[in-house]
Parts: sequence; C-alpha cells; structure tokens
Amino acid sequence: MNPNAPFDDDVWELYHVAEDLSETHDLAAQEPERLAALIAREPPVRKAAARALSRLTRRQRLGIDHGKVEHAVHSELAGARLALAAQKKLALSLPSPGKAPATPAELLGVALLEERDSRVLQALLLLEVMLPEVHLDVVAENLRSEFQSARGNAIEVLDNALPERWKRLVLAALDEVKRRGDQVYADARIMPELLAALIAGESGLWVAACTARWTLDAPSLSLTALLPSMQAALRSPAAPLREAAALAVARANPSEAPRLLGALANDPAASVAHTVRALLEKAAPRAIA
Amino acid sequence: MISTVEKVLFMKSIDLFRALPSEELAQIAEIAEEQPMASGEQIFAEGEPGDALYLIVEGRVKVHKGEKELVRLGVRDVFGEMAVLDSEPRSASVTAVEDAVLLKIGRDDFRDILTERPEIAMGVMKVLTRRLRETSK
Repeated sequence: MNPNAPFDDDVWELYHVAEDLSETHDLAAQEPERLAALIAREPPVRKAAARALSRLTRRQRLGIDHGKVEHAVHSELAGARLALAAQKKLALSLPSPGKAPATPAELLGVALLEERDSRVLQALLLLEVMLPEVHLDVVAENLRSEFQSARGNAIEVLDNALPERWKRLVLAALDEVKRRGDQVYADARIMPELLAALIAGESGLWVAACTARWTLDAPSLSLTALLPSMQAALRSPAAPLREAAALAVARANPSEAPRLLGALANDPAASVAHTVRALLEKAAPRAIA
Repeated sequence: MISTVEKVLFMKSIDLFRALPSEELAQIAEIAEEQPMASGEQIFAEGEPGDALYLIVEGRVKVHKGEKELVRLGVRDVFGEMAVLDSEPRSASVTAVEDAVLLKIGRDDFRDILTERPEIAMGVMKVLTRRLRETSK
C-alpha cells in the first residue's frame, strides 16, 4: 500500500498469515470483489463485506492492511456523526422510551438515530477486525436494544473495552460525551440545504424517504423551495423515497403533478404505482397512525 | 391509500414488528398490500392453504370454526402469522364483522425478503423467540 496514494487508488491486500508467513500469497487477488466491497457506497454491500472479513479474522489470523480498515471505521463514524448532527438540527421529538413513533416527525427522528447506530455498529465490526482481543459483537447487538438498560450496559462495556482514541470517537457518535470538544453539535447548514442533502440520501435512502414525507407536515417549511430535490428523488432507486417524493410534488405543484408523476403510475414497485395513481385521481392521502 | 412511511408507523406499533429497525420494516411495508373488507366478507376459510399474514388497520374480524366464534380481533391485532413460515392449512376461518382495512403480507414475498436480508430474518427470529419464552413462562 502506498500511504500517500488517494484512498480509492490504493491496492487492497489481504494475507493469510498463518499459512503464508512471507505474505507472498495475496488473498485479495482471489477475492477482489469482497475487498472492493468494503468501501462500496451501498450500505448492504459494505455490511456484507465487513461481516465476511470479520468471520475470516475470527477463524484465522490474517495480515490485513489496517490503514484501509481504519479509514473505513472513520468513514462509518463520520456518517454516524452526520446523522446525529442532523437529528439535533431538526430538533425532532422522539417517542418516549419503550413507545413506538406516532408521527412522521418522530419516525424521522428515530430513523436518523437508527442510521447513526447502524453506522456505529459497522464501525465496531471493523474495529473488531483490527482489535481481535476486544469482543464487541454482543455489545453491538445491545446497542440496538429497545430497552434502555441493555443499551446503557453496552455503552458501559464500550467505555471499558475500547482503546482511548477509538472510545472517544465512538462514544461521541453515540452522544455519550466523555470530554469537552468531543460533542457532536447540531448541523451548521441552513435548513433548506440540510433537507436537500438528506433527501439526496446523505444519511441513507430510508432517512431520505422519511425526510421527504416529514416535509408535508413540517411547520413553516416551503415545499416549493424543495421541489428540485423532490423531483430528483422521483428517480431514486428506493421505492419509499419515490413514493414520498411523489406525495410532496403533488402537494407543492398540483397543477404540474400529472406531467411530473405520470410515469410513476406504472412504477415497478406496487406501493409507488398505487400511491401515484391515487394521487392522480385526486384522492387525498390518509394518515392512519 | 396508505403510504409506505405510514405503513411503517403503523407496523412499529405492533408487537411482532416493533423491535425491527424502521428501515428494515420499510422493506416489509413495501410488500404489505392494503386490503379493504366489507362487513361479513370472509378473509380466508378453515382448511385453505396459509399464504399470508394480516394486520388489522381498521375494523374488527372474528376467528371462527363454522358457526362457533373463537375470538374477535381488532385494530393492531395480527392473524395468520405462522403461515408465513410454514404452509399448514388454516386452522380456522376469519370473517370481517364490520367494514375493515387490512394489510396483507404474502408468504412468498415475505420469504423472499427473509432470504435476501438476513438481518430481517434475524429480527423476526428474535420476535418469535421472545413469544416462545413468554408462552413457556
């Protein structure tokens, strides 16, 4: 690995040290897809690649380019901080502990925190690859628990188990600040800029869908200003986002809705086609929660 | 018309799904088909193959064997959930006792999701395990 080369240009290397002490037999050459997938843009691909790497390192000692893994950990934690900062900026109410979200605003708040937790879990999985003596899998599981006590225990274990430099970053992303200066602050961008970034998928396509849906109910928010973002979201690969964007476009620009949404009436996702047809027939969406 | 986001909000309030992260639930919500039922309409009959589970969004249904009513179910109740995991025939009939709106989740679609997304399968397994623990207490 060339430490000065741009990240994407680096050649990944993965050696089975136990059987290849001279590190001449590069497993990466055998599994280029898996190694490339560790830095893929799509979350399910990254997750599957990290799980595979974690499984491999649990079974046998591998010589791994820790610089690459470290970079991936930082990237995941940056994503976690971004989601948390957005949640703070939007100042969304969250359901009481043990309660389900009851409004699109609460669902967006929950979705942002789930995205944050999911990115932290991915970071922990990769940290375990670098630090095999630290067992984080059970801890990670409890971070997603609906029970506050289980989550509290998980954070306490992380506090004790992680080396200092990682501990500060991980706990700050979880909003468990140990030192001044570590805290994640509310996103500094102005509201329309932040919302446009979220709808564009900055914190994942599910958060994008929840954001697009939330804008329908958000007080003192101009849907017209978000129209370009919504129109772009109509072409998203994620069906819930296409559907939520269609609802917003129909609300923001009803006279143009037939032209803008017409193609989605035959969307391959039944949920999108069903909603768009109903919109085009002027049926009002109905909230059930 | 119930959008996917609203289906997720609804499903999050149901025990079977509440522990699943909302993004994973959205995958299931996408295949949940809104099904309006008129009062007196039969949803399925005893002995039929079990090909879907149902969530009650509005209204009430009765579970019955012939004329004998076993139980009434209402909003946020789930029925037919075991049919998504095995293909046993329905053990009773279910009929709407008032106008109702259901979400129907087809077994084949649901199984496809469980196959493609192991984290969702793990979530469902956890829920079923919890139910089993509660039953055996």
